[in-house]
Amino acid sequence: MSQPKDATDDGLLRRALAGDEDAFRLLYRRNCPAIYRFALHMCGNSATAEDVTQEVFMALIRNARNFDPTRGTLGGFLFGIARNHLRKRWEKDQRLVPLPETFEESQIDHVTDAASFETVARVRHAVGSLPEDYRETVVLCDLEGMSYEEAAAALKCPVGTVRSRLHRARALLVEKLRERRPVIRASAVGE
Amino acid sequence: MNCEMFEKILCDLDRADVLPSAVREAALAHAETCAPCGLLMTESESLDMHLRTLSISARIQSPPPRVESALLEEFREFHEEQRRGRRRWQLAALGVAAAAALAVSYFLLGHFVPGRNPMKDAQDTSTHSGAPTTAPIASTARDSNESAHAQEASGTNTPKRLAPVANPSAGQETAAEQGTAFIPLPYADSAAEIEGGEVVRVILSPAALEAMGLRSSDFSSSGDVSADLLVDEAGTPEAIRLVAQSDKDSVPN
Repeated sequence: MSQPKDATDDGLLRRALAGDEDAFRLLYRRNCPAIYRFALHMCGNSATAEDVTQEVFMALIRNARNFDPTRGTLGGFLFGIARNHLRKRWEKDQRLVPLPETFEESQIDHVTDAASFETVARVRHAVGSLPEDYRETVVLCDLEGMSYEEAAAALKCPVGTVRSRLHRARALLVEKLRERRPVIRASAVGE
Repeated sequence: MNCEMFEKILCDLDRADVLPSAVREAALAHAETCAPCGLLMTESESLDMHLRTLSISARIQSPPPRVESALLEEFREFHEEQRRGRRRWQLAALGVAAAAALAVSYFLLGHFVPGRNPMKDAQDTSTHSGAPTTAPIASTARDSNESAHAQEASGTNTPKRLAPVANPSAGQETAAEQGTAFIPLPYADSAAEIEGGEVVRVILSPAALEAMGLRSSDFSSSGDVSADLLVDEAGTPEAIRLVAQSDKDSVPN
């Protein structure tokens, strides 16, 4: 069954609940990039981000009835699940360490010029070294472009908390970027 | 607008619809006149630019296709399992409903068969072709022995009452019939001495009754009468019990 591209997440979820595979596929394709990026920014590891993304949508398959549209968007619900999975992983094996000094090639292949690479590397490192609460706020509000309200729903905290966390996180980022020297790898800049 | 307030709203300056336009303009005006706040604003704008670069660089990031394949596989399995579960429940519910329907039908058929008269059925059974029906009464006779001994001991001379036998078709009163107690026949031995024997359902004419020492004038009916005969092992009738069946026969006096 073909699904209209403008179908709402709620409508698609209802169809997916009834066993409509196409609806689920569209729902996945619509939401997975943001979830994957969130996980990637939070853990700095593409394999873990992949696992978390898969776990989030597995949880959606099994517990889709837990989603209440009156309490927020499906995106917020999925970010909430992703956050829980990331925390569980953090507690379990402490693999969610701050980002490494060098990044995976696959993540920077598309950054062609040295200045952009340098910028991306510095900012990514700075974001990765933020405390977890601050990091997820920066990722949701500044990198994923969520509003304070959407981020508050995803993080299950008041809007005021999101604002204050973002304020402190940005201050920390400015400090880190000011003091941090650029990380430029010879291979990446073609030297 | 002062520096403290400017610092508070700094991260909202770049966001649409967060600050009222008047506050935003006041903040920008303050940044132009205050050097430290101007520097903060420049750093904030620079950070925004860096974050935007990072965001754009990450835009094309997405999980590999194998994740989607695995999820779709899981989706199919989950819904197939759900369907199987639903089918199992439906079958179970159907089974329970069928069992309940059978139980109700059985109950209703047992009690309310249209056109069936349980009274008449009993009557038909007891008068069927006049053929005698028999039932062993050994235990009845033994019970009677005890009763007879008790009566002898007490010196009373009341007719000996024999308990009905357990056979529903002979010797035992059904809902449609009424009977007297067993009355020893004049020539019979004491009922207390009877060991074994049978109760036989018979239809007797008035003449036959008189032959047994009973007067036909004792019965309101002038025709044949149903009776149970207590017959000993030798086949000799020892006692008789008169049975009246519903309205057809008269009740013994």
